[in-house]
Amino acid sequence: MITLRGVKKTFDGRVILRGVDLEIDEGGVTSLLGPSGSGKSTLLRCINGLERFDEGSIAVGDAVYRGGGHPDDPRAVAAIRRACGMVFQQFHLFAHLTAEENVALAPEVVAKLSRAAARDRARDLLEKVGLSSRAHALPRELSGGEQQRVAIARALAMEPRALLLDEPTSALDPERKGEVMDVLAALAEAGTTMVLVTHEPAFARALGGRVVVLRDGALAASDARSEPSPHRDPDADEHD
Amino acid sequence: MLGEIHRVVSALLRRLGLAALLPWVVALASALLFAGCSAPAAKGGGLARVKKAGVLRWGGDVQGGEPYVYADPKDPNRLVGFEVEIAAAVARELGVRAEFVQNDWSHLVPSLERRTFDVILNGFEVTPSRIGKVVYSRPYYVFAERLMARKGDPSIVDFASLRGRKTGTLAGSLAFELLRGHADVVMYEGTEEPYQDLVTGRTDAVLLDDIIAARYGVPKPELRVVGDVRDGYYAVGVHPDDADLAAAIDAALGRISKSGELEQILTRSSLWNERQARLVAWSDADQDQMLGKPPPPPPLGRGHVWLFVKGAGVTLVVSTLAMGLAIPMGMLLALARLHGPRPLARLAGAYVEIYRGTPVLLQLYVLYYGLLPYLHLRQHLEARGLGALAALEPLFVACVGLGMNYAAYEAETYRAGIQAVPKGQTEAALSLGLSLPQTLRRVVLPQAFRHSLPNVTNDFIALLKDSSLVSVITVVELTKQMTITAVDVRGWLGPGLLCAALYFAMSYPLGRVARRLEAKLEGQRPKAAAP
Repeated sequence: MITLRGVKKTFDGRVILRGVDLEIDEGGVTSLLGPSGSGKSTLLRCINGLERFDEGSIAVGDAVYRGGGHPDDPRAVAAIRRACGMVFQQFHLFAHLTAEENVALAPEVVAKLSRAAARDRARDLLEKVGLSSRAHALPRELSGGEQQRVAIARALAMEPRALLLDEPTSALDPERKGEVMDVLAALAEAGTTMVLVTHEPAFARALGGRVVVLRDGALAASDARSEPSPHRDPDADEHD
Repeated sequence: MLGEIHRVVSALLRRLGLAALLPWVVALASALLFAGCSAPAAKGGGLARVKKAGVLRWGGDVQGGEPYVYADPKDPNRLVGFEVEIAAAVARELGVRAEFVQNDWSHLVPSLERRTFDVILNGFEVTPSRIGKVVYSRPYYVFAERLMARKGDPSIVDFASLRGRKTGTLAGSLAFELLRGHADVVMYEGTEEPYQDLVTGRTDAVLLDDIIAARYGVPKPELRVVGDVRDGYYAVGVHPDDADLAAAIDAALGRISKSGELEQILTRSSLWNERQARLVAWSDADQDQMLGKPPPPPPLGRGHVWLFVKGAGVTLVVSTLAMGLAIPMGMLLALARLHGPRPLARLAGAYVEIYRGTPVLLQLYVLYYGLLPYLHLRQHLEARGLGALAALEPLFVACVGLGMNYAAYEAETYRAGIQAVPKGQTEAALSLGLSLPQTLRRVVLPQAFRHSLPNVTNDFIALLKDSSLVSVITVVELTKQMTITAVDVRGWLGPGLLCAALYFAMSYPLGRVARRLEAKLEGQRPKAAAP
């Protein structure tokens, strides 16, 4: 469903991705595991068109875009973004909107649903992540775990074919990780296609599925089920 | 007051058992009191002061131009003009030298009161409202109030025909006092603009001194002289506490009139005519007649307050409309700068830099006197039967001019506000499939607006006060009304306080409303949307 072919990216003279080939099938979880600075977050952002790449191609369904200096076909970007919902490490909920409005925005603006229909969908999704009672709270009135659950509901609101998750629990306190984990586990159970970027092998293990290890911008190992040993690079910086 | 102090002090000293000191203490206190409160009241100290300094400092404004006081075309460092010669002659008669002090013409009287200079000598007309505020010397020039109109307009035939017509003149002039309550007066700060506006049809007539009319009005082929309305006098204005200086200047002017020197000076500037012959044999009776019996100044009354409220209304309307233009325009400029294609971004950047980098006064001036006359707005409006709208031209230019200036400041405010919205907000919106315009409108701008609100309020309050600048394009707003009334009632304190109170009454609630709005945006959103 998502096909990466020879994706290369350099930034400020530093090679971040050195030709990644990856095939992600519909249904099930794919975990991208790797130390900080291995390029796994960048790879995810390239899939969603938030970052550009220099060479290769990324295809999601029928939509394809290619690396290089030429501008992306806006229809391809729109199609891919619609097909892939994105969840960020720092949630990035719209600070001026309530939980419900956060979820309802894209259905209303992009999918052109009526305001009422968009709100209905938002309420359903908030119920799904267990936040019906917090629908009218602003992001800053929510805990980190609650915010991330709203963010997951928001990413699901456009009914994407795949969910891209960038370190979804790394910014949370240990006791808050569980509630997000439960939501993700339920989605995995339901057969949602998910691409999960994480540096925690335990997290990847918990969701099951396939694990892909990225080191220094290249695939180090790809394993269908078994646990790869995570090579935590002690020298790498911890900022991603 | 002295009696009061005497009583308190003597009671105090008696209680302290120091009654013997009483006379000394009282003498000391009185001396201090006199020194503190009434030192300048030593009437007649002016002449001694001038002689001691060896210089007669005379105030004027070179902006009045030729033939009064102006830079010598051959040597711009030197001032020439018939008043420079008269000042030199008077100073010579007093045994001192003359020194020119540049001062805004419409503020010559307050500056004299502050003693920025010793005397006013600069087309300083004898007007009823100034008699009593300053002591006038005998006149050194007899001018005529000359009425001019357009050649194609036969409806202006005399002073009476000005009733209700738009008539231009200088703010604070004798002509202004004559026209007020009779014609629809349009006030100017400079001498060229009234005639320029008469040519373009912004006004129907101009009433000004013959010297000004001859220099700036008569050369325009579109204009004609209707006639002279009455005589008026230029005289030297002296501080009322300097009666002896006034007497000495009077005597000096008398000597140079009788000796024929005044005639020579006026002839050199082509100003001598039969009217000036009266100056030679000027008598005390002539002086009394010139000064007349000034009417007592009217107290600051209900009528003035009403005018002030009207002025405040103009200030509020101009500021609100200008801000109404500045906000959307600033928003567009900020967006063009941040997200527009490069040429547009550059253009928006240039706009902001130019409008911030030049004085708003100059922008208003260029727009109103420089640019607009070439657009023939009046003719277009009249062709469409909308001639009545032409009367709103100054107000329109005031709103547009201030709005365009403030748009530059708003653009910067919004730019900062937009940049303060975290990048993650944009990425989240884009990743959901929103286009960039949708992202800006639904996610970035609502948050940027919140960041910018305190600065926008600040700008609006600043604009309320900056709007006083539009008086240069003949709009009478609150500050202008204050200066007019100050001349009427012969005092600045009352009108000044009233003016300040009205500005405060407008800006304070604005600040309160903005703080409320901020609190509302920041705080809990009261949700009625719940099912």
